[in-house]
Amino acid sequence: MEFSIETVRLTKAFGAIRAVAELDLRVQPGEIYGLLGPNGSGKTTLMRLLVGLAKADSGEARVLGRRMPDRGLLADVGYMTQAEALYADLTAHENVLFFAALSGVKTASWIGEALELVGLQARANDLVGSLSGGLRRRVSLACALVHRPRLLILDEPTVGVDPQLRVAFWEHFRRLADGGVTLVISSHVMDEAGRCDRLGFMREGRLIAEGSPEQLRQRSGTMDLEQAFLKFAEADHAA
Amino acid sequence: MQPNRVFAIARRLISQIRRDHRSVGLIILVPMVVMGLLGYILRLENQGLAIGIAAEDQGILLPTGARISAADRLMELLGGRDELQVNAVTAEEGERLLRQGELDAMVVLPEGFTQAVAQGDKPRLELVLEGSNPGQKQAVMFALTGALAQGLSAGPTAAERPSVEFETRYIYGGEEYDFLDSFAPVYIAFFAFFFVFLLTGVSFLRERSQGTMERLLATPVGRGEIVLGYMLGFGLFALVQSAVVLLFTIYVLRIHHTGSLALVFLVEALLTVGAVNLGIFLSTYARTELQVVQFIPIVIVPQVLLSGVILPVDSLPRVLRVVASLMPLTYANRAMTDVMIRGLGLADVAAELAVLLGFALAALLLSALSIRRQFV
Repeated sequence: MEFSIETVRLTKAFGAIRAVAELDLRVQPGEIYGLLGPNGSGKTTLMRLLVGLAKADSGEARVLGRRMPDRGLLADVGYMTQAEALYADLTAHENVLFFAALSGVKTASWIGEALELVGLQARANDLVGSLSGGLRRRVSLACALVHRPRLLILDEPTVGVDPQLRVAFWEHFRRLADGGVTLVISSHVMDEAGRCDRLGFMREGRLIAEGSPEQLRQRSGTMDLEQAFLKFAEADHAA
Repeated sequence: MQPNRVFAIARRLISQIRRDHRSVGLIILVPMVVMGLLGYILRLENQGLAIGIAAEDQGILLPTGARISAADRLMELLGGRDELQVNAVTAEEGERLLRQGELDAMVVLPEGFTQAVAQGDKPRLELVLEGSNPGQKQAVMFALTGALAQGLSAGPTAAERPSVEFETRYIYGGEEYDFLDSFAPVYIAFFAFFFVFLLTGVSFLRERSQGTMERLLATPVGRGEIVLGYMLGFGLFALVQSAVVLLFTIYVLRIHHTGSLALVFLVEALLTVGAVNLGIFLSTYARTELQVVQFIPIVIVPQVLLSGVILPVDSLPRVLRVVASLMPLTYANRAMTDVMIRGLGLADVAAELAVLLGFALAALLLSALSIRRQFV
C-alpha cells in the first residue's frame, strides 16, 4: 500500500541551522497525523517542504506518490499557513472563491459548502478585514479545503479559535479522514493532539518519538502528552 | 506633556529609520541627484536647435564686382549662436529633413530677397516649422528676429532697418498648437506608466507581506499565470484611465490631435505591460510599502526629466540622450507625439512600438523570474 506522504532523509538548512534534519516520515491515507513540537522545531519548514514551497537540500519528499516540488499535484493538496494569508479588502466569500478558482474548482456550490463547514455562511459577505482573528482563521481553513483535496496540511489551524468551534473543526477533520482524506496538522497545543491517529514529536528538525497518543503516553509512563513530550525531549537531549 | 514620552517616540523613530539604510540614503542622495539633473538640463535649454536655410536667392552683384547675399549673412550670424546648428539646404531637402525630425525649422529666402533688402522694400521670408513643440518655435523665432535685425541693419542700406515679413508654415500642428497640445500626449503616457507601476509594486508587495503569495504558490497556479493575471487586471485599469484622460484632454481641454486613437491605446497597452512587470520585479527589492514608494525617485523621476516630458530628448547632451534611450517612456513619448500631433500611422511608429514591446518582454521575463517558488 502506498503512503500519502513518505519522506526519506529529508533535510533543509537555513545557514548553519538545520530546520529539518534527515527526517523520515510516513503517513497513511485517511490518517490524521499530528506534528507536535515547540516553536522553531521545524514543523512549518517540514510542511513547506511537503507542499513544495521549499526545496530540500538533500533527501526527498514523496507526496501522493509524486516527488515534491510538483506544481501539478497541488490541486490535490490543501495548505493552511500559520499566517492568515487572506485578502483583507475582499469578502470571505470572495477569498474562498479566489482560491477555489486557482485550484480548479468547477462546482460553484463547493464554495458555499466550504463556508458553511467553518460556520461562516452568515458572514460570507463581510470584508475579511472586518472579521475577528478567529473568524479569519475559519476563512483560511475554508480556502484550504474548498477544492476537496486528498491531502490537507494545516499549520496550527486552531490558534485563536474558540473551544466550541475547535471541537467542530476536529469533528470535521475526523469526517474528512473517514472519507479517505489524509491530514497533517501541526500544533503546540497538546490537549487537541490526543485526537490524532498518530503523533510525531519534533525537536531540532527531527522526529524524536512517534506513535498513537496512547502508545506515547504508555512509553513515557505519563498521563498526558505534555509530560510525554518533555520526557522524550529530555531523553533526546541526553542522547 | 511629558518630555520623556516625546523623546521616547522620537528616539524610536530614529532607531527604526536608521535600520533602514536605503531610506537614509535616499533621503540624502535623491534630492541632490534630482536637483542636479534638473538644474543641468534646464540650463541646457535650446541647445542643438537645428535650423536649415534654403536660399533661393542669388544675392546681388555690387558695383565693385563683389556678390552679396542675405542668405550668407544670415548663415553667418545664426551660425555664430551656440544654441543653433545651421545647415544650408534646398527647400525640398529641408522639407524632408523636417518631416524626419532632423531639422526643427527651415528659413526659406525667396528669390530677390537680397534685392528687396537693398532696395528698402519689405522683404518676405518663409519660415517652416516642425510644429510639434511650441517651445522650439519660440526659440527659433527669437534667434531669427535677432539675427535679422542685426544682419540686415548692417547690410548695404544701413540707414534704414527694413522690417521683414514672415510667412510661417507648419509641417505638423499649426499656429493654434500651444504647450498643452505638445505636452498632453506625453503626459497621458506618463500617468499610465506611473500609476500602474506604483499600483502593481504596492499590490505585489502586499501579496508577499500578508502571506498570500505563499498561499498562491501552494496552489497549482504558475508564475506565468500570476504575471499575466496582474497584467490583465492592472492593464485594464490603465486603459480605462488612459481613455478617460484622453477624452478629458480632447473634449474638455480641447487639445488638438490628429492621429488614430487605436494606435494611442496600443502604445499605452505596451507601456502598461512594461510598467506592471517592472512593478512586480522591483517590489521584490522592497520590504515595505515605503520602500516601493522610494522607487519613484529612482524609476519615475529620471524618466520625467529625460524622456521628453520636460524637454525634447534631442535637446539633451549626448550622454543624457544615451540614458534617455534606455527608458521606455522616451519611446512612448515619441510614439504618442508622432501619433497625436503629427498624425503618423502604424508604419511610422513601428520602431518605437518594437522597442516598447522589447521593454515589455524584458520586464516580463524579469518579473516571472522574480517570483520564485522556492524562497527561504
